[in-house]
Amino acid sequence: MSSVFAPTLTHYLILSAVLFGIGLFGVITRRNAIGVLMSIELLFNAANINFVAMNRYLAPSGLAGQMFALFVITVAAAEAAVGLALIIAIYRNVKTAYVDEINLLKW
Amino acid sequence: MTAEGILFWGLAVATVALALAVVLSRNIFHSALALAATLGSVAGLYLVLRAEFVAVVQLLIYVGAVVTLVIFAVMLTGRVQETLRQPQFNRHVGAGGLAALIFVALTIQAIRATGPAGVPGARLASVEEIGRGFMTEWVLPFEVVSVLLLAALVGAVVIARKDG
Repeated sequence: MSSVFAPTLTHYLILSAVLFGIGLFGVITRRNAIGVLMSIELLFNAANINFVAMNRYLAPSGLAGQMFALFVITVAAAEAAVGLALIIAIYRNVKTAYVDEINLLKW
Repeated sequence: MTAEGILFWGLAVATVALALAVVLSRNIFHSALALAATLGSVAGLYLVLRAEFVAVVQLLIYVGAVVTLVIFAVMLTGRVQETLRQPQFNRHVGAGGLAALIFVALTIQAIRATGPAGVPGARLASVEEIGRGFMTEWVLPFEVVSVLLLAALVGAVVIARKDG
């Protein structure tokens, strides 16, 4: 790396690794199911940063990275819609949104 | 000390700090607001990367729609404050360890694998080229994702509807 200050591909990869770690921590730790979904969105964004950064630094004439990022955003929106609908339906039945209190299937 | 460097570091620090606010906040509504800000600063990063269309789509769909949906769900499921329970230190430590492990693995790969440093392109594909790509090379995923969105829309309405 010529200088640490000017962003290169490595900077973006490390940033997305940090974001991925934070999202992973949130998925495992949060008790509220909506909090889990929000942490999953962080995971998606980490991957998207990777896609767009690699597009810019490794293949600037192509557009596969941006296209993948756009499709990831779309699929993530669909998944968030369905996931939140499920959480609302569960809340209507069990009156809680906390994952450790939803234990009807436990033996 | 280029403009791109200053913008990158500022947005990177903001993104990480806001992401920490998302996962560590006791109040789920604060988490949702922090998520909106995180997604906004990631859109700023896309602008630094010269991907304007992705940045605008990120703002429209993620900040505009997904976060709105999350806030609706937060409002509809009551209990905004996390009930004070025994903080599960085991789970937090385990999760932190796993996250740190994954981060170290990814960082090692990032530093090792970017052999040719990669000269940043002056400009990325424009909106016109993306649009043309959607209609030519990427038309199949485009159509498939339309069907997926329709299925998700119908499914979400059916699942969240009140019975009877």
